[in-house]
Formats: sequence, C-alpha cells, structure tokens
Amino acid sequence: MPESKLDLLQGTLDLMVLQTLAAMGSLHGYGIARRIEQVSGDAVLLNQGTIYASLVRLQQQGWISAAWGTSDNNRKAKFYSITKRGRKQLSQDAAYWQRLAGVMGRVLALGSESTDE
Amino acid sequence: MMAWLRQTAARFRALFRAPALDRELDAEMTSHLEFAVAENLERGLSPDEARRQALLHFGGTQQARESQREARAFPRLESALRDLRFGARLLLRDRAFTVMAVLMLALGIGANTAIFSVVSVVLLQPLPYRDAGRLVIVWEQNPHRGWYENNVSAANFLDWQKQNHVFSDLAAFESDSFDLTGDSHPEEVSGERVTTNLFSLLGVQPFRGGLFLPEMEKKGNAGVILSYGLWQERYGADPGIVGKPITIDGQPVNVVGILPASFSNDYSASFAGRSRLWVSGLDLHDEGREFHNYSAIGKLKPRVTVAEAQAEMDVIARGIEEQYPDSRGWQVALVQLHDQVVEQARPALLVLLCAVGLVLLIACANVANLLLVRATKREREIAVRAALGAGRGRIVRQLLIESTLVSFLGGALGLLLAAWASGILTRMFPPETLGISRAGINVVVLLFAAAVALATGISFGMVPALEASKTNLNETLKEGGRGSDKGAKRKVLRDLLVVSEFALALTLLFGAGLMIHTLVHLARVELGFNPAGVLAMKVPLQGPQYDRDQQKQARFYQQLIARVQALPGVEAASVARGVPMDDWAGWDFVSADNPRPPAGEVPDANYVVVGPDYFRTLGIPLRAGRPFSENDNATAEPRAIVSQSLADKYWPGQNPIGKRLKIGSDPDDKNLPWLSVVGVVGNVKSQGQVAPFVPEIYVPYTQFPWILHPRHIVLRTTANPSAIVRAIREEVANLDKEVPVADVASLSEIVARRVRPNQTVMFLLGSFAALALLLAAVGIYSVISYAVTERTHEIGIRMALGADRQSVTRMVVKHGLRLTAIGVAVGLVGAFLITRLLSGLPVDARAPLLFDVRPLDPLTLLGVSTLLVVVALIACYIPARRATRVPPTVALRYE
Repeated sequence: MPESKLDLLQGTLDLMVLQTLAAMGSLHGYGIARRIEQVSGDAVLLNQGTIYASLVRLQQQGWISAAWGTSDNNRKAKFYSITKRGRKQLSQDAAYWQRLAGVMGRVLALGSESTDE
Repeated sequence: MMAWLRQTAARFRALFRAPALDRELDAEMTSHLEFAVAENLERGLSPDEARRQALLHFGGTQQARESQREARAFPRLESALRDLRFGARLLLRDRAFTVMAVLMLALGIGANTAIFSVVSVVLLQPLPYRDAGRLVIVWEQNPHRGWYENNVSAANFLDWQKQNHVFSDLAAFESDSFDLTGDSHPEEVSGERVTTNLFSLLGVQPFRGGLFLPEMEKKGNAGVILSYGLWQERYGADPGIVGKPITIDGQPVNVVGILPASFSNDYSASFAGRSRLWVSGLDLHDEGREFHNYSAIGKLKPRVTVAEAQAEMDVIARGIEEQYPDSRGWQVALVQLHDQVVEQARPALLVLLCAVGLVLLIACANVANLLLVRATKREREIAVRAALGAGRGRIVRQLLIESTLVSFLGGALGLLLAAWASGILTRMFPPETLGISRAGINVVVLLFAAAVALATGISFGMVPALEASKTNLNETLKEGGRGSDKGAKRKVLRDLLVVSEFALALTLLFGAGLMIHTLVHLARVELGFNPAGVLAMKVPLQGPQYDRDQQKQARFYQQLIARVQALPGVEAASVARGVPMDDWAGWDFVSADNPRPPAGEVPDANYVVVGPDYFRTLGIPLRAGRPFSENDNATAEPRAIVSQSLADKYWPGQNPIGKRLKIGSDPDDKNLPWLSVVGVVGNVKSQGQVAPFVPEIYVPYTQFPWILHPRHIVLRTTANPSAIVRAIREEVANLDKEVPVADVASLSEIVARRVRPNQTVMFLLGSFAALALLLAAVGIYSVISYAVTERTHEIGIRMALGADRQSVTRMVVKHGLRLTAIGVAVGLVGAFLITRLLSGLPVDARAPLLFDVRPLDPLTLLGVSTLLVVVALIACYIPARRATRVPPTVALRYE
C-alpha cells in the first residue's frame, strides 16, 4: 500500500515558502509550489491554490515582497522574494523547527524503546 | 508588537482594497495555470489532459480565493458587514416599521442627548482654574440659630490664616457695587472687594497688565482689575488704561490689569461671572468679630482631603469659640467650589436625566414590541436560514445587527433633535448656571449619543432576537404552521412591555403633576405685600460727597421722592434699603425687656430702612399703632415699626407699642440708640415664598444712624413702566448727574424669579411626561391592533354566531384596560420613588423643587391615573371598532 501524503501542519507551509525563496531567490507562485513538491519528493499534499493564502500572509507581515515581471519564457507573472526581515524570521523559525523535530524524535524513540521491553 | 501592528494595518488596507486584490489574485492564478499547462504539454500530455491535470493540481480556484480572503483581512468583520447590508435592505423594504421605530428612538435618544449636553458641561466639566479640585469655599455656620453657609467674620478669617496647616492659601472677598464716575455717564457696576491673593490662588493669568501686589492690600494703596467686558464696553478696549487711575466711588484707583474674557464666562462663584471689576484693599483688621461680612475661598495643600481640612478647621473654630464670646456657636463648613457652584442646578438636572431615561425606556419597550411582531412575520425566513445551517448565535447576531442599525438611525436623527433642543434648554436655565453658555453638541455628547444608541439597540433587540431565533423547523416550515405555544409566550411578552410602559408613564406624569401642584401652591402663598404695579430700582449714593454724611443722603432721597411722587401715574413712592425677596439683612437686636439674653440666644431680625410711604407703596397692612411720618426725623425720638411675627415672638400677649429695642447685641452700645416701637405691620415673605416669615424691624430713613444705607426707590404706579423709569432717570440726573440708576425691575418679576427653577423643571418634566404618554399610547395601540388582527378569525366566528359589535368591542377594550390597570398599579411604586427623588434631593433650602405637596398626593395620583386610562381607552377603542367592521365572511376566511 502506497504511503498517504502528509497533511501540512499549521504554519509549516509558510516556513517552506520562506525557505524556498531564501534558497532560490525570486520565484513566482507556481515556481514556489513546484519547488516545494519536488524537494519533498512529492510527499506533501499540496493544493497549489493554498499557496496564495500563505503568500499574502507573509507579505502582510513584511517577510516577503512581490512585483510583477516577465518569466524566462516570456510570460507575465508575479515574482516573490524574501526580505531582510523575512530572513531573520526564517532563521528563528528554522531553529525552532529543528529543536522541535529533535525533541519529537527523542520522545518518540523513548516510547518505542519502552514498548520493546 | 510592531509585527502585529504592521499586519493589522495591512489587513485594514486589504479590507478596503478587496476588489483590486481579487483581480490581482485572478491574474496570478491565470498565469499559474498557464505555467502548469505549459509544463504538462512539455511532458507530452494532450492539451485537454494538460489543462485537466493543472486544474486538478491547483485544487479549485474558488477555494484559493476564499482562503486568501480569509488570510488577508478580517473574515468575521466582513460577514458582519454583509449582515449589515442585508439588514439595511430589509429595513428599506419594511418602511412602516423602520419609520416608526426610528422616530420613537429619535425622540428618546434626542431627549437624553439634549439633557446630557447640559449635564456634561454643568456637572461634569472641571472649573477653569488651576488645580480646581483643590479649591474650597470656607463658610461659617451657626446651626444653633439655623444659619448655614453664612458669611465669614474678618477677625475669624485672620485667625484661620494664622492657625491652619491645611490650606496653601486663603483669600477673602466681598460682593459690592461700585459707582464709576468721572465721565459723562455714571454707572453702577457690581464687583468684589478682594484680598490681593485671590487671583494668584485661582491661578488666573491677566489678559493685560498684571495682578495685585501684596502692598495693594492697604486701603490707601488699592488697585483695580477690570473684567474684559467692562474694559471693552466702558473703556473702548484701550490698552493704555492699565496703570492709569479711574474714578470709583469718587476716588481715583489705579488700573492694575485686565482679566481674560474667559474668566467672566464662568459663573463659578460670585467672584467671577457677575463681577465687572475687582478692587483690592479689603481691610480686614479692626472689624468686630461679630460682623460676618465676607466670603472666603481656600486652596487645599496637595494631598490634603476636604475631610482632613474640615477636621482641622473644626479644631480651630472651637478654639476661637472658647476664646471669644462673640463667636459662640459659630463653626466652619467647607464646601468644594465645584459642589458650591452646581448646587442649584444639580437636583433639577438629575431629575430631568432620570425623566428622559424613563422616556427612552418606554421608546425601547415600544420598539421591542414592534420587533416581536416582526419576528412572527419573519418566522419562515429565519427557519429557512436555520435549515440552511445558520446556528442560533449567527441568527441572533443578524437580528441584533438589524436592531442596532435601527437604533443608530434613531440616534442620528435624535442628535439633530438634540442640537435643536439644546439651544432651547440652555435658554431655560439661569444664565449664571456654570458653563451653560458652552452647552451644545460636542465630542463628549456625540460619544454619549453613540453609546446610548448602541446600548438601546442591544437592549431592545436582545429579547426579540432570542425569542425569534428559537425556531422549530418542523412546525414552521410545514404549510400554514402556526407555532401556537410560541404565539402565547410572545403575547405575554408584549403585554408585559405595555404594562411597564404604563407604569413608567404614570411615574413621569405623577412627577410632572407634583411640579404643577408645587407651582400652584407657590402662586397661592400669602406674600404679605402686593407686588402688582410696584417698580423697584437702585439709586445708590456713594463717593466722598455722600460718604459718612447720612443727612446729605437723606436730603437727596427726600427731594427725589417728592419729585417721583409728583410724576403722573405714581400712586405712592418711598425709599428703602432692601426689597422683599431681593435683599435681606439679618441683624441681632435686644429688647429693653430682656437686654442681656444668654450668648447664642440673641434675637435677630431683618433690618429694613424705609421712607414714610413704604408700607402703602408695597401694600403691607398696618396691624397696630401708626406708620412713619415726616415728623419721624433726626430731631425726634428714634422709632421703629416691627412685624407681627416679631411682636408675637418677643412680646407675646403684650402691647408692642412703646416697647424699646436696640440693634446689635450690646445694650450698652452708646453709638446705637434705643428705638421705641410705634407700629406693627403684617408679616412679609422677605426671603422667598418657601421660607417662613422672619421678624422684621423697620426704621425711618430720616433718623440716624443707619447701619445700612438706603439705596432703593420703590413706587406703585399705573403708568407705563418704561416711561416712568425714563422720567425717574431724568429726575435723578437733575439732582446729581453722578448718581446712577440700576437694577430696575418690577416687584412681580422679582417674585417670579424665585420660582423660575421650579417652572423650568415643571415645563421640562411636563414635556417629557407628555412624550411618555404619547409613546405609551402608541404602544398599547399597536399591541391591541396586533392582537385584534391575530384574532380576526375568532372574532369572525363570534360575530357569525351572533355576538353583537358592542360585546366584541367590550372584549377588546377590556384586554387593553386590564393592561392599563396593572401598569398603573405598578406605576404607584414609581410614583412613590419619584416623590422621594424630587423631595429628597439635597436641594438648596431656599428653592426646593417641591413645595407643600404630600408624598403620593392622592389628588395628583387620581388625576394622572384617570388621564392614563382615558388615553388607553381611546387607543384601544380604535382597533376594537375596526375589528367589528370586518365582514364575517372575510374574517372567517382570514388566515
């Protein structure tokens, strides 16, 4: 049975978008969505449309900026890029997630050890 | 915090740019899909499949739109705005309801806002002085003799200044009138003699020049400060006047400065609004301790409370009392300046505020009633919404938004009403009421109106909304379903509302009835004199040529009265010191029968200096002996006439003629002669209609010495008052063109002035009661008409079965009358409470709101109850009659 796709926890999508923009520079909405899907190895369940709620949220917080431009293949698109404030936020959030992931890993490992005994 | 602010601001921007943002998102999604389709085509999919896959992956454009809208703005607010638009559409459709509800609320909110516009400036605004909260008026009082808020003795004041630790400063002042002469038009103006520290104590800055300097405390070195108004009117706003002398009471006095206009706008105490000038050189030394002539104001040290200051002043007063027999019985009473100033207006305003509150409650009850009826009509709509998934909270919210919309419309209209009414109101209060000139619609009043509108919208909307949202889907959605149990419950609610309206209306009507009663009683008070046709005016003689020369003053008045009496239309004329109800001067006296009463029991009387024709002019009857004559002059034995009440009190059962008395408390005082009583006259209400008769001592102005100088002319005339006054002014000018004529008034006017506050309250309370009655009538009318409409079917059956019109009418009217009766019964409690409020408020004893009425006065109660029942009868009869006119065939088919 194939593994079902992961539902995104609240707030994780915002972090992924920030990280993507930090790594890739300026990108349009479709580009960001595709990039996240690729990086996650298509493991994330992403309705691409929901990315636009995340983008407007990040924009209102001043973490990303946006401008209309033209893509390589000459299509008009809105390009997003991360701001200085956004990078600061990203480093904070990333550190938080890593700590949480570490703690979660240890706690879960503890659980499986005790059931083994 | 910053991030949150930034985000909120961005959300607000998003709220107002919604269409532009939606367009932008659509453009973005279009480009997104183009990218996806292009990539799919590259992967070798057919164009149709490429598009299908792209859309599938995107997951629905509508959802994307919704989720972005939610993320970028305030979803709850937006749905509230939708509710508002929906509510507005419904209100537009149901115009009859909207117009009725808005009108009723506009009346209620308008009345409240108008009264509040006055209350907010009079009661709530601080006085315009530095640290105004620390200013207190320092009175003396002698409770033993019933004297409260009495003036202060100079010697006591000086002792307070030395001994107290609670005031950072203490100033004294004395109201006086001043003759301004030295140019072609002599004028008498009122002003104050003040200690030099008064203005620095108040923290007042001069508009021009400076304030008094300490060395101006000496009489010979006095200065004068002018009010802005006097400076403008008399001195043509000449800035050069500062530093120059002007002639006051015949003496040159240097002008020290001009006060700003704002100082005179505030009728805070006698030292401000009524005064045109202030003169220093108030010589407080070497004055007898028994003369209480001054007012005093103190500024509390920071963090000293009034109670603490009072406690210390009590101790000081007790010390003075022990040390000096002349101060026996005298205590000190502190009153905060603000309390002092609003004392007169406060009870009336509080009563009116309560009254308009009741009117608003009635209006709310009416609108709630309309809403209940409306809820019944909208049952199906609400059931459909519930069926489509709206929770009860959501439906209540929708209904509350509607009712608040109505109340805000009412509030807006009410604000217009208030702006108009507040102009009328301010003219009804005496102009010296604090801050009344500034009353009007301002930000505070606006906020008040908005708060009232919001509160009413929620309060009258809540019960109907909760009621309406309790839907039984099955029942309501069934064809023709009626929900009969709910109908019964709503009927009880509606009846309850009508009952409370009548109870409130009765309360207000009863209050107004008591005020009318009071005015009738006040008008019937036996004054002891006949004010009709009597004119009074001040013709004061001051300045060096008259000062200390009582003979010269007497000669002037003798000549003047002779000339006035010769004028056509003058029946009688006389000189006087004091006119009843306008001027009162209490003095100690001793009787030769009991020359040394124990301290604290020295009798006192109103001291009046009069001419021979005074009693004839005022219509005061002679009870015994004789009136004064021209022969009671300087060479004759000193004489007095006393009032009946004085004779009865001090010489009961004896013949007062020939008794001897002396003014002052010292029988050995060589400066004051013994006066022998030659006549007794009727009692006079010299202190107002409400006060009891006080003993009066009259002395002839042609005998000396006077303690107080005569300064009034009174005359009884049938001629045109203004022509007479013009003639008198000419005669005065002929005698001495430096002598002013001031304060011309008819005695009837002076008497009427006393009851003006009662009239104002009566008029306003009466208007509000009438409004309440109208609203209650509308309320019972709408409830009965609705009940009749609901019962059309039943009435049809009754009539088809042979009931005649009369019995049907009786049945309907009976329902209304039952509600009225219960309302009136409950209203009795309200009537009791409003009597307590009207009579129990801490009012000025000289001008109580109620006079000579019993609590729960049966006559008034009967009157207003009858009025209510008659109005209810008419309001019920109209729909009852209509019900019986419906043809049975129509009624039977009515659903």
